Amino acid sequence: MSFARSFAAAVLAALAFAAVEKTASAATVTGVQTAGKDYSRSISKDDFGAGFQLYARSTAKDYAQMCTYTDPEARCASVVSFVKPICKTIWQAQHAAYCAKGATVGYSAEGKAGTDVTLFGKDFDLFSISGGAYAEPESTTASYGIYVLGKKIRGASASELSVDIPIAERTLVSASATFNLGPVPITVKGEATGSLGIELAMSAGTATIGGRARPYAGVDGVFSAGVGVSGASVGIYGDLLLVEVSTPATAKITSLGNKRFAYDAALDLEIHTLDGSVGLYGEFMSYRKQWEIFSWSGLEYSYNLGRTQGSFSL
Amino acid sequence: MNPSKKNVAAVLVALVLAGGGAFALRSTGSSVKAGSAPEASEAPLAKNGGAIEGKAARAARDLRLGRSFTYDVKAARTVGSGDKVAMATKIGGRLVLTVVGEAEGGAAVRAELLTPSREDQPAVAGSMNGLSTPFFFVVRADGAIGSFGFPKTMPGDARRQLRSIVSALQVVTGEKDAWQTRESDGAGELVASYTRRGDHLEKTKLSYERLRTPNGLVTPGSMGGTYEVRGGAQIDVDASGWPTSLVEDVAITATFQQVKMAMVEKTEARLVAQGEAKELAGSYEAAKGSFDGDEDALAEGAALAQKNADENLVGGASFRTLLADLEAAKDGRGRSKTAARLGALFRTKPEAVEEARSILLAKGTKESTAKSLAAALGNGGTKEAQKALSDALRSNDTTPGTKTESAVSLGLVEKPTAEARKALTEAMKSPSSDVSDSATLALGNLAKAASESGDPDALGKGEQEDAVSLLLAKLAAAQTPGEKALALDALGNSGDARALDAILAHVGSGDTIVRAAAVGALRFIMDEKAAQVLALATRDPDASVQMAALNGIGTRPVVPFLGALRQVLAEDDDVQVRLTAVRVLARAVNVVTEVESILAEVAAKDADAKVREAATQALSKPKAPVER
Repeated sequence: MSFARSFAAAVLAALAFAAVEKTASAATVTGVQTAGKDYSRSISKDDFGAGFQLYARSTAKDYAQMCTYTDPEARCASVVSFVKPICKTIWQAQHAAYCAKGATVGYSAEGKAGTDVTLFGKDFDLFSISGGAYAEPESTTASYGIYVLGKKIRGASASELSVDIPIAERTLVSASATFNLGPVPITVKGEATGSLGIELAMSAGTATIGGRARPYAGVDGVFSAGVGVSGASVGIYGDLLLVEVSTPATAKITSLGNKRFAYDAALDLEIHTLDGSVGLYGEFMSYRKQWEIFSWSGLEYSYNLGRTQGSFSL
Repeated sequence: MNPSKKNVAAVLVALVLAGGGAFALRSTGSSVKAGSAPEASEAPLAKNGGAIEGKAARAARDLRLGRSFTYDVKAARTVGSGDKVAMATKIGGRLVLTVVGEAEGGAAVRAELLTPSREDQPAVAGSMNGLSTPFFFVVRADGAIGSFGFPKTMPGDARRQLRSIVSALQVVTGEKDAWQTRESDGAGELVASYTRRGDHLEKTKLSYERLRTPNGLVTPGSMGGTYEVRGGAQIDVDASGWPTSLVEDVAITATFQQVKMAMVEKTEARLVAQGEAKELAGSYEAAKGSFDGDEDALAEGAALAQKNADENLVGGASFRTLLADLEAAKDGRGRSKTAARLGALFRTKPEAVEEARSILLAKGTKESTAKSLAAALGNGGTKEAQKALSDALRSNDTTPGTKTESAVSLGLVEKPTAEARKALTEAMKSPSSDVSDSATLALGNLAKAASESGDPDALGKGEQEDAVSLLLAKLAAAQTPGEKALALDALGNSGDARALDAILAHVGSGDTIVRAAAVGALRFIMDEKAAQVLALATRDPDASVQMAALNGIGTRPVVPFLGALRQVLAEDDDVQVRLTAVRVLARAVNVVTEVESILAEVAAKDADAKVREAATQALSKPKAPVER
């Protein structure tokens, strides 16, 4: 996108939100309750880092209250005129849909693991894996999704799901630089390579939905280097673990009637990250010289984040 | 005008290979005085640089047509890290420089290294090839060397070594006793400072502003690294303006992808003879048609460096060895590295792709092996690898699991082919929902990769459009929320603005799965309307839609969304939503000042300890030395 278009988009987005801010007090989000377990942590060393966001949670919604909240007249009352059409588009359709559901409720149970990594000083939304079950008055659905760098690569939805979806080891992201060091062209390359997946057993019964989701991933840094000179050899050795994460999660929600719900959520977590060493070598005619570039001792976390149970009313 | 530009502008006359004098070149016609003794007073002053006055005029440069200067040169180059040397090269010989005519923007100089000698550690195959081949360089009016002309037959290594030696002798003069210039050498564009004491010049290389790469000149920061230089040259010049002696000692340290490598360049040159070589006049004009562009020499070396990086990763292992390693690996760590090595093997040895293809397609192949091969072929990403994956998608002998993995791989290649698009399109009709869903998502990913690849051999624009049209048709035909969400996800992967209206038609859906997919599908579409909807959707009553909006905001410059993010952080009850907002802001720490003040407020005041901690951690990110 051209600079002018980017700038215009930026200004319009800012204006759009300025308009939303004015109306924020018109109605607060009502009719939605959430309970569960979550975890968030980020770790960084040098130009590398990893951040984790995980949760297991149950949500219930009161559609009558959401019908009120999504009233487009209220939501878009103070919106500037050129943003109003799109604002109304968004809220009108939702409003109609929620109001049509009448005095009913919807509820869902979800588990999710997402990891950002910082490689070579740049941030990547490395992967996100989620699974959940959703009960609406008219249907029930279970679904999962696996994203790599914001791209969805696997996903499905069905009335219930019991699957183990492993994605084979592959390069998820790579960064390379080729430059001249004096007269010598050099390429250095780093790849984040690994596997990820989800084990999911989600179902929706007449009053209870939920199940177990275990998102998992193991991603390593694989480095290489080469010089643009025939016969010469300069390379990289070593192994580096960027992240190994496994998060068994259970989330269940039961409708007790009269807009009352019981929930049950548990989350365990095992993380192993930033472990290993990387070095540079030069191969001479009869021997090899090598020296370490950096070394990490590794960080391991194993948490039973516990279980939370209870009930709430909408 | 900044100081350095001002200094450059103040350079009145160009000098080549010596400082303090005037570059002087008459045309190659009758006005060029050839064959006479090199006397500074006879050298006319360059018109386009302005008049030389005072000290600069005192040491005017003799650049008359046919004048020839011979230097004994010794050059040593080492590559290593710290005091560890991984590669060393020494080159010596007699470098003869002859003014041979005019060139666009300056004068043409013919260079030839006579009686070359060379030592390399480790030994370099064919290292002497091309070292004695004559080549040319052009001196621009500002005193910098503008370009080199190398015969097409000259090996890239010889070009780079000789360019390095000639560039070491480069001097751009100034009017006063101290000045700065911007000049270029084999590595890129640098800023250098000069000081003059009589006929002695001291040159210091200060910094490289842009580096020469296969993609042209770029800043080190844009490559995610740093490039530091220390040292310079001591140069003596005589009345002719040519250096009588030069000693350069420069250390360059490059840090990219966390790998630090250093180069030490030492060059010594001593003037041993001056003379006439009138017979060489016009040789530049005659040879010009057979030159390669500068970038061609770099591209050759860069391609070799990339190939060597892959070969070093493979480490001489055969396909069968790596396959056995993959199957024997006890943990994911071993398998990851082997998968990366297989990808490198497929890039460097196309015949290995054929071996992998035959195993991938064989009926009795274990599914786990076939899936790993499908992933590794995706890592390779070559046309041959994509053909093998396309064949796997079509084969009656591969399992749905292998087909699914093949589809995922094709969706993640950087330069997709028409063959891949066709295979994925066909696979969308597979009776296996895993295969058809994965192929649908992969088709969207493929359309985006094709639009970004810039590779003329990759998928054409028409075929990209076909892919998006197919996905739009799939959305239009979708009946269930699941079908709609899948088509929206795939269109979102494509990032194609032609899908915008169809996506916007679903952002108000009463079905949360569909609405979240629609809002999420805006993440790669850089459009005003999409940005407005993302900002508005941060107030959606459903957290999954809010988080989809926040993730979409995370793919864009954050500044226009600071108001939305601030409001989410101040008012939203949902901890996960606030954590996602912190995650989005964390990416702009050290880039946007206002982000740090928002996060500082969150770190101090948020009601939830986890959100406060996330904000604190985001603020503790090390200050990035690189551009974003």
